[in-house]
Amino acid sequence: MTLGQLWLHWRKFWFEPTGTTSICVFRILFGVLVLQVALVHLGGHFEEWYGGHSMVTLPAVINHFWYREPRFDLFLLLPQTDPTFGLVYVVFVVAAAFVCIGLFSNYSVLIVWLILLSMHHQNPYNINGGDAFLRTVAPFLAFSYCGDRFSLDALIAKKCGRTIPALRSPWAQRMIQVQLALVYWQTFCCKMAGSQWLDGTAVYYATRLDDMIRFPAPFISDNMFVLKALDYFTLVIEFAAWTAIFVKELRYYVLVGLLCLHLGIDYLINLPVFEWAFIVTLVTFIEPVDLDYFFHCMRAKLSQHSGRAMDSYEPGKEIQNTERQNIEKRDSPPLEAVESTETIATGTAFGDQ
Amino acid sequence: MKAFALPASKVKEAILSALIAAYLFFTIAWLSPESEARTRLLEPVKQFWLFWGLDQNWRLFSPVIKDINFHTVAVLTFEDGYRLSWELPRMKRLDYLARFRDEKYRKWCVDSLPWPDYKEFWPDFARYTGRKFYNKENKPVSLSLQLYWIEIPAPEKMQGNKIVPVAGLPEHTKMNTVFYYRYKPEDLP
Repeated sequence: MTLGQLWLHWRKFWFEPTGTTSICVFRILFGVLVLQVALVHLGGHFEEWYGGHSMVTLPAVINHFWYREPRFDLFLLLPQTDPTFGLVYVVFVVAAAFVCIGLFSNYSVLIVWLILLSMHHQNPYNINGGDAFLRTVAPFLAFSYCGDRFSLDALIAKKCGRTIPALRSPWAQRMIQVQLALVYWQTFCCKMAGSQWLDGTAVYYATRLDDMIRFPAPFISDNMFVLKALDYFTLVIEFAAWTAIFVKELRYYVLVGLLCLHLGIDYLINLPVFEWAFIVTLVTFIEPVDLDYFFHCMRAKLSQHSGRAMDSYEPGKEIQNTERQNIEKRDSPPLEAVESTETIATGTAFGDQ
Repeated sequence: MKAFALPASKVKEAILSALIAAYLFFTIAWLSPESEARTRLLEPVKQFWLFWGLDQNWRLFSPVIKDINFHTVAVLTFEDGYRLSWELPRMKRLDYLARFRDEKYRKWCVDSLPWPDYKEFWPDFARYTGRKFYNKENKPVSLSLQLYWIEIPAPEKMQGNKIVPVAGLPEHTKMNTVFYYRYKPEDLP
């Protein structure tokens, strides 16, 4: 392979325009998870975790976690009073709600990221891997075309007569995908470095951590054969999650395997946000054209129930030919050919990306 | 000169490509096992990485899963000798909803607080607890944090092919005092 071919492959992966359905669905799910953190896990006792009366004080964090080096922390830019912390909490909730409904989508995600980052720097000891993952992918989501569909932004653009291109450069979405693959890469390598995962006893211990048990499932957790099978299944699927997931023909099998893995853990082990942060990110791997088809089928079913007639799935019927262009993308037109559609892009918040 | 100018989109792609490659390079280095080379590679970007929270670690349930079960109890002693025992949120004893809602308490009070890596935060916790249960008629004078624990029976030690069922896990019958703190006048309201 020549350098030129390598560059072409690189460009095809990161920049070849694609549909935005997956990243827009991910935006909604991301927003719901952040809202869950804000309302369910922090609501009513925000001041116990952040601010002058918290369990972990900022001077101790600066000494022992920041090592007296600078860290981004919005709270430090504001007066250190209870009302200020309350105000930041309200802004956080509003921004998360805006992410869900797609209002000022990119800016809302950016605000969510900066507040998540500040909270994690203020108190790094009450978060789990799910929280950290949301923080990690948030900046990429902020720079994506996440407000192009299923959003008030799109509705406003339509009202104003602005055209939103159906195909966009997906580099930010690809970053989220690669970031997820990196998670599985590291966790797989760490598992292989320990003895429990290799001798098949890891799931036995994981299901017996009594402060983390959620729902009982004795047919799984009390059967050593099943526990061992789940142990090795975890290793296999986590290996596939940073390798085979990038092979188009195998991708959906890997996604189904990962979905089963995370749902299984979520049923047995009480780790709110943790499993769902990864589950919702799997959506970014679904081809936009397949998601469009799924939504079309859902709409068809709904209209069947309501007795309204609906056109059969005919790519090209949608406004701005979104679905048609996505369907056409099944055959992956050459990068240069598709690029011409991008040049008519009118841009969204954060301009052209 | 104009003939040699690259189209704006190509320049944009080139800049983005450089940023993506740099981010992936340093992230992969960050996630790699500790080594001299890793430390040297990350040195130039470490400050920037930490400032923006780009540091990451995904050692989820690995390399070793804990083989003990435990919970923590804070014991406050008041001026008149009265002792108050506060069991920090113990998921096992909460209903499903409370368990879901209070996960952050478990993460801090059970998963982190009792361990030596977090000893710098023990005085903060003592002061927080002193304020929480403050009684001006009978002030708290000291706090001790106790860790109750028990090993999870190893599967290979079970007789035959039987393993200990989840419903039959042993109680936390062993105890260590993790730390003791005597309040100073400025600690309390």
